[in-house]
Amino acid sequence: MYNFVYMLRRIHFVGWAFFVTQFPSLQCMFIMYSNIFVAIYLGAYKPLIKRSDRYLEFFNELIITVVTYHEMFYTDWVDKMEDKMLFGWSMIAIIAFNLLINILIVLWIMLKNLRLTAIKLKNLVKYYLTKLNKWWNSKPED
Amino acid sequence: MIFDQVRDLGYETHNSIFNLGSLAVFLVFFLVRLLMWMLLKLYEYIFKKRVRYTKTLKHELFFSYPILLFTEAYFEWLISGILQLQTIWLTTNGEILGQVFGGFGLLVCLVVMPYLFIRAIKFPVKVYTRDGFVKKWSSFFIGVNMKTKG
Repeated sequence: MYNFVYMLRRIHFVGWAFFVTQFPSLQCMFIMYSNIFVAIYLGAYKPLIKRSDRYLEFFNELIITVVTYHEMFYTDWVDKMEDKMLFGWSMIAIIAFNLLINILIVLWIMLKNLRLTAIKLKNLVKYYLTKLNKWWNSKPED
Repeated sequence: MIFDQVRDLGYETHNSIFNLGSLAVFLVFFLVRLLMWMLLKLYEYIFKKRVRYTKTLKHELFFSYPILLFTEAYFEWLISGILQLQTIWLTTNGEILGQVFGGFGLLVCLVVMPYLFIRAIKFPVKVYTRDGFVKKWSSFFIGVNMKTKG
């Protein structure tokens, strides 16, 4: 069901972004609704197997929700252009934070895999060296 | 006209080949392999001989590879298809190949994928762990908990 929800959400987003451009307030509202719906779904059904994946997905969802809330500040509710700019910076900072966390996680997984590969290689070399040593010792002397 | 929202996402053209980039290349690979499978099938039918590679190719083409190709970049296919449909035929943005790519992507995203998803969801939970099912539909369920339908 997780991928089905993922697909429906994208269709929903594209539909609102392309075909309802004359109602920006409705766009903001319905995209927020879809975020809330997905957050509820993730929390209630826990569709991913790994706990770390679940936490990451939920963290990303939280960031998306906060970023979507920023959209309201770009509407006519906020009069001053300077204030809109300020909220723009806040949005950039939140997205950058999300990117940073995701990149750190990717790096962490990469380092973990590298460590495992190094251990595997070390054991392999050790095995062949022992084998070579045994063969060398068992060789009859001339 | 390109909407501001879309232009800001980095889409500067309506041509789906440009918008899809490497995904278009992967689609070409997929179509070439599909053509190859069809030719092999035809060969088997005419000469009444079994070719081992046909089975391997069939397992990859139906449905793991296309599901993965369209699920991972679902958004890109959808947006490039919609942008492509807004162009006028036989112009720089509306070249025939671009129209074919955009139309095909949109058709798969809006008709084929939902149909396959609904079909996969309709199976009983017990079936989800069977080898044949996992082989065929695994791309739908990578990293997803299969014990329940939720």
